[in-house]
Amino acid sequence: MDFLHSQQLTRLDGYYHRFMTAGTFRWGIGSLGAYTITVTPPRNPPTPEGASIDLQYDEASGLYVTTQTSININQEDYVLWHVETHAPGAPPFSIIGTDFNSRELADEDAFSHFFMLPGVYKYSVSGGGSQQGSIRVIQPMQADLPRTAQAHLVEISDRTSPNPETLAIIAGDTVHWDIICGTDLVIKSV
Amino acid sequence: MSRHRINGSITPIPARPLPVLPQDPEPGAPNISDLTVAINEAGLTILVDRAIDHPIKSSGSGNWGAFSAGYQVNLQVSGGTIELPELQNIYIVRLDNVVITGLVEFSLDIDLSRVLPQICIPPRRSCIHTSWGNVCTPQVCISWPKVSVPVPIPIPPIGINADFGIAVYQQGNVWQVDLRVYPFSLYIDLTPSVDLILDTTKNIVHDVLSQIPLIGDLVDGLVDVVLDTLRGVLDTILAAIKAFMENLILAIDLFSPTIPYHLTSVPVLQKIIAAGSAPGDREVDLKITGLSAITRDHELIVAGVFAS
Repeated sequence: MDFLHSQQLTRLDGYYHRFMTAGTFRWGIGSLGAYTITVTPPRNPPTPEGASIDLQYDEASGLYVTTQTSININQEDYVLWHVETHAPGAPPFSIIGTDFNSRELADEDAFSHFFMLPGVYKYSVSGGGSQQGSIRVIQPMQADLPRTAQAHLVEISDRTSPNPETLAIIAGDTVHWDIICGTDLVIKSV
Repeated sequence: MSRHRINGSITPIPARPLPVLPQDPEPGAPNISDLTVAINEAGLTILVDRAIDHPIKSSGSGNWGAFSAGYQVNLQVSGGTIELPELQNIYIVRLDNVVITGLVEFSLDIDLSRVLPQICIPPRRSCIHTSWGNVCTPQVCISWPKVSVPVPIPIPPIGINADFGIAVYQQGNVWQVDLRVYPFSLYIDLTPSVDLILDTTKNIVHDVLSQIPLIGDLVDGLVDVVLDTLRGVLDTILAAIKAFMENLILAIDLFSPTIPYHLTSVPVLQKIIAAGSAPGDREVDLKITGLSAITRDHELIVAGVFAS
């Protein structure tokens, strides 16, 4: 079974944050660092876009590093952090910013997980309440291969159950948990 | 007899005087010597067997791109019979029927990330419409592992026949009698192990790749890629092992073209003890001024002449 825990990001995970205000935001890997994201007013007309920050694990130093130490985006754009390379033994990581934190999901945050192995993944959303949901991952049929992997959306609120509460996907698909409402939320296997 | 083998390599020894090959007596001339020592074929066989009949163990390694190989060679040398053939004007010591058998503990390490193409799932990032607009999820790319393939390679019996010249020379206060090997070919054929290595590699790589989720339909093709790449370097790898084994065998002193096999030595000064105890009888020192070695009637005959 895959390891599913929004506080312990691995290469199968993605952490997203949408920037709704202009300014310069510092961020780091595991702790607040000196990397910056500069957010300027929205495009005219507003056309939100996504930016990706790729992290690499440096086995020699035991640290995650990135070459994208300073990026510029527009208001309402989102940034996706994920590990581009995998080294055996690379530890889980988290993204800590001046007003965003992958360990405490909140409005304007999202978390994704790429499911490689079939199985039933029950998870909880802890924080404001304690909702539960499940993802059933099935093996693709040989006759259906090659297939185009899909992304699936689950909306998370601290007041209601995940929407949808249960979801069936095929191994190789990605589930995207979008935080609609809430603070300090954690999504993890139960 | 000293060994000059370090980690399977040969350490050259200091140059020695060129051998003084024994000459036949002039036709019709008296064959006179003051000192004669003879050893027959059976005796020489025992001496030579002692020199070669022991295990040889050494290891080596090398890198060939994505492949690296370690090999531990274990050889056993046995047998061998000395013949002293009757030839015209040349004296040869012939060693027949030496047999070398053994095993190469071969281990092939493959860095699959240097052989296989990068595969990312999904090949294109999948996107989804959310309240933020379209959000694209990250790809996950397969991290190809390193694979180790152990293959024990049995060495079929290798037969060695070699001829030796006899070298006689004075070195300080002794006369030396050496055997010096004539160059001989050593035929080691590792090609029968090619299929064994390819089959073992195929099975292990298949097992490793089969454990990686989501690439099930690609595994057979990926294994073929690895095998095709291996075929391109396997001859070179086996040639390196073969050369390594040849060096090991040629490092046996008896077969080394650079290390004479020392058969016997005779002091230049011979002390002759008086036969009796009468007054005036005393030890006499005689100097050997010439020494020759020939083969005759299936014996190696060493003959010396004292100074007159």
